[in-house]
Amino acid sequence: MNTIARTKADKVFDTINVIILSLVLVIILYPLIFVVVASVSDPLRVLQGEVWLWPKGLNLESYKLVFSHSQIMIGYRNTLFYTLLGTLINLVMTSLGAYPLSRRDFRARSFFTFLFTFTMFFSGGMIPTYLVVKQLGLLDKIWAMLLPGAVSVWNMTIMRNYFQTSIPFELQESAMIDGCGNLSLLIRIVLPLSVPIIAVMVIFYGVGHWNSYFNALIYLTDQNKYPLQLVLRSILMKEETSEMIAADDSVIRRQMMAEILKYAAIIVSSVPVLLLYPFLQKYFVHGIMVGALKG
Amino acid sequence: MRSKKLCALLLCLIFVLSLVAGCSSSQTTESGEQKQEKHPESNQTEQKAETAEETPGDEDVPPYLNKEGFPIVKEPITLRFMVRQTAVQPPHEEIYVWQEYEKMTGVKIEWINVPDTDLSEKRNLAIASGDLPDAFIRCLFSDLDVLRYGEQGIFIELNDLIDKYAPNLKACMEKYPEVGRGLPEYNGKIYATPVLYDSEPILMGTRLFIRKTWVDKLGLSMPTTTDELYKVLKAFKEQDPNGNGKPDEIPWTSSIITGIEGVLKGAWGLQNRGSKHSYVDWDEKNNQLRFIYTTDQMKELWQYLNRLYKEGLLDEEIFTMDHPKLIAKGEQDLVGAFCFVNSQAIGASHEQEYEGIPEALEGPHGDKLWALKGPVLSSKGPFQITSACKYPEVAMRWIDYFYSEEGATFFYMGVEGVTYKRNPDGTLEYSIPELENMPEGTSFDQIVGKYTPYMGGGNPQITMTHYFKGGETQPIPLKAAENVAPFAPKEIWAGFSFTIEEAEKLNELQNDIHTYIDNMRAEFITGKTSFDKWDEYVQQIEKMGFKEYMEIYQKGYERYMSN
Amino acid sequence: MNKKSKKSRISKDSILYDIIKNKTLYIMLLPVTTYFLIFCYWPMYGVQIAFKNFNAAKGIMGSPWVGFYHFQRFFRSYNFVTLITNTITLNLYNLVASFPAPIILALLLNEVANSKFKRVVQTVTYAPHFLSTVVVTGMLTTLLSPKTGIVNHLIATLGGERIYFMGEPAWFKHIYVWSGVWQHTGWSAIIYLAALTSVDQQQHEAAIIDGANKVQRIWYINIPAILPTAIILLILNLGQIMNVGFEKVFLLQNDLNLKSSDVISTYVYRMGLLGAQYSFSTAVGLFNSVINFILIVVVNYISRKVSEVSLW
Repeated sequence: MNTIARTKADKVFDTINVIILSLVLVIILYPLIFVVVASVSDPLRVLQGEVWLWPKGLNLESYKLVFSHSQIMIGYRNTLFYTLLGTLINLVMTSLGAYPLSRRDFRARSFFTFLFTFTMFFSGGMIPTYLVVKQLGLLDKIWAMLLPGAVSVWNMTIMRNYFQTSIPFELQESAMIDGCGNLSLLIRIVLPLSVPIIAVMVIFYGVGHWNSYFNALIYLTDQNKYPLQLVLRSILMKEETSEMIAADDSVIRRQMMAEILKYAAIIVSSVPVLLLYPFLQKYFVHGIMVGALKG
Repeated sequence: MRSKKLCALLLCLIFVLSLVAGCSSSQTTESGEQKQEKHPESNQTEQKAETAEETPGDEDVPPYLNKEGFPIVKEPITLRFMVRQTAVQPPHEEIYVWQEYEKMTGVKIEWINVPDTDLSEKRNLAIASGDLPDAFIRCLFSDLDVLRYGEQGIFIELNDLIDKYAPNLKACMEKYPEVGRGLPEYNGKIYATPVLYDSEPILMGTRLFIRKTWVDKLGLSMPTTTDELYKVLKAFKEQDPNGNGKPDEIPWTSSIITGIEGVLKGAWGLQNRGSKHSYVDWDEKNNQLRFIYTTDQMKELWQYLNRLYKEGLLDEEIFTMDHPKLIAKGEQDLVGAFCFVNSQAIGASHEQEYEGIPEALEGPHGDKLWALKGPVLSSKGPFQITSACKYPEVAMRWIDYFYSEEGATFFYMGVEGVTYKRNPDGTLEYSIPELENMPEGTSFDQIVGKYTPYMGGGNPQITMTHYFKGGETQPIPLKAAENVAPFAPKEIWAGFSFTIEEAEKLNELQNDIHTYIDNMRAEFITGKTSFDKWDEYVQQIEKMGFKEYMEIYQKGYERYMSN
Repeated sequence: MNKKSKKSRISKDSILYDIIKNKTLYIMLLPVTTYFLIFCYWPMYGVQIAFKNFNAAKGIMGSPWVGFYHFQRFFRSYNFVTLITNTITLNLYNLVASFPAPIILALLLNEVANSKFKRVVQTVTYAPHFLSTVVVTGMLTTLLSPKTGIVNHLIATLGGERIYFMGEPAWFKHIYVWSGVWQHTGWSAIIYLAALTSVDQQQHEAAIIDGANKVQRIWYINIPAILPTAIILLILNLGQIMNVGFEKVFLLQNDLNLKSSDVISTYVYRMGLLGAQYSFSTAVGLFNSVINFILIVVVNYISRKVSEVSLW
């Protein structure tokens, strides 16, 4: 941290900064509070617009309903597994792809970049991809959740960009002169300096896996392999009967509960991953470059 | 620069290669899949069946089939059905009626349960990838899909099968002329078995419910004309019938504007051939088809609604309403009148205070029609036998039972003495023990859903009042239907049949025109656009291909009438 | 660049030389290339459906060719121009509003001394990203309701007239865009925060000695440092110009605001309601992709000339 005295202009700036950020905090925070509060309130009061800051008609029924489905724990377990293994695969593949593309002296980099970026625009669509997955024998296998989507061009481009701008080429050149091969360049020099971007990739890919349901929808049939989001979707639909049969109070309550369940479902599925970011924030630190360059 | 050209060249090469790769592999895959849909069990039984004796006189009856009665098959046969599993149902193999039916028929069903949420993806994927089940049951195929897949051969032609092995369905087609007319496609072929409703309370559609307690409190009587309705709504607004001192009453609301528009259509003589044709009806004076939304009567109807909106008699938020909001407003004791197929939509607290209107509303020109009645042939979507099925006759006999009264009762109520009992007055009632002491958190639907498979509707069978215990036959909506039944049109049209080209073109035109109408209806009623612009509105519709729309519709009509 | 040498030894310019020298780099690219070949290029043959009438029984290869029939169906839709206009204006507005916000947020956050406060703000701002579209649109409808919504309460107390926000075509764009800014700014800021960590501290120290204050330092040091990242993201986003997600528009759409809320994806959805329309939706998708692609090629070229930062 700077121990150099701050000028008056700086003090003003800092104060305004804190004010702005606090405002942002409040604006963003309020609807989030609403979601939490609504998830434990009486559905009727929420729909009637009575719920602002505190729960009204406190009840945990929506959470009871969500967790009463035994599938939920299976869903959590599966999603955890897919996220961990999937993100690992993503990291390895994306780094291996991004690094060569970031090297100025790599003649074919334009070609490969174009080759990969092209796929962001043109795709055969759901059916041919499904057929390919089927032909590879991946249907209803765990690998169907991990392989399609193993590399995202978007993420790879961002990672490549980071390598290009944050890791001076001179550093790599001097190492090459010292006889360092490309692979060890990547592993011993570039990656350790790229901790922030790796953290970003973990967040992007990790959250992607955590929230995914579409691949599971079309490739999986065994309900024991279902990820959390798919389980939640079916729970939400269970509670939303569009055909109102039978004069039963509980059917009405169920319709109403469906409204509140949306909020409970969000919380159930997001809290674990929300906690990821604060945990990773400590990796957003300045790279240990200064010493390396001087050396 | 060189790498750019190389780039492009290699890219083209890869693209072409993938085309070729796709070519060889997909062909073998897809056609291979179609041929290979053999279930290991049925392989065995087919061999067995071939050696079975044939009954003399039934030369074209397949050896494994019994032409009549139960069991349906001589040796156990397994069929794979893809079924839509709705929210309240367990997987279908657990449903009591299906288990009993398996014993009765000798046919084992391997159920592919697809939850509601995933239905269109899974169903479309099954077809496009060649992984066909033996039949699709209640998978909500649209009429266009049924025709398209029928013509492509994915759904087989059922005409012969119905003739030989579906006496109950055949009887329905003869008993209800609109079914016989509406079921075949433009080429006379039938590719699906229908959803049939022979139950007035269900067919009557959306009712108009008015708060009887408020009507009585304010010393009025239930309205029978559009003018009287206006006066009642006005009284609701101005005289504080909910007694809380605030002018917060919402005289008329609903979950969707078309519900409100629908109950008024008859008062202007519109939609005079039933609810299946809500944009085109019959011009009795000139003996031709008439487009409802460009008539002067529709203009007057919207002007009436505009007046209601301006004076606060129609919910301000009507264009962003949905079911939960309707319940919320109902529970808050704010609602004077609403429209739905049953009265539960308003919430349990005040449901009993409402009643259906005593007669169809009479409009300013003396029309007193109930335009919302639907045809017996409700949809063509619920049951199709695919080209992968080795035993289509078995499948046909299997489904035909539910088109008889006995079969349909079994479908809805289960087994007499076990799941239902017959009251002395002839009515049927569930006698499932769990219903007496419902475990916490369960509902009527969930419990009955474990025994009978009808939950969610859209079932391939015939539904009749005396065994249908759904919302439409509860006391209040039942009476509401009886009140308006005498005013329903004499002639109700089922859906028309079109060729694929006609249907696709119609789809395009409807997408443009109907969306425009939705938008303009909202603008006219809210007053955003003044009725001075009515002629412009009509001209706009003409510019959107209206002439072609009506020409295609005419073809459908002629086909329908000549069946 | 050297001219191609005609000598017999392998020229430094040729691909072959590059392969030999950098063979590990090529090997590193192998898994990724294989991935794209299998999962992206192999299925690409399916794009043909746009020019065919898909027949499920015959499969993609066996279906009959119809040339540009589906494209024509799309172009001659009465509202074609409106659909395209709505889609593009919505996206451009979205881009203009939501592009600077994460950058500003990241720059501000970077200057916060108190790490607890910093963490709290970061976590809270990125949380809305996890709310599902259904929840966000549900909240919007509740908040903006003419009778019971908090926004209208405020307006009424301040003496203004209540506005039926969801029913006004003019408001649709603003509701769509600013709720998106609210939801995704914190998330999008993550990448800029990461980029800011690579800013050279020495430059800052030197600037302070020269008497620069924070604002000047941000302007002259931090912003140029994250500029390449910003440009790359801008290019990538422009390559999505024709893609307006279906779900959020569909949930916010109603009869009253159709004039400005009807976009390409909702139109295609309605077409598909009456029967599966693979060929049609693939054709429309292809049309969108071609426009996206042309745009990104142009923008990439301009960017390369102007700033030396580009995708390829």
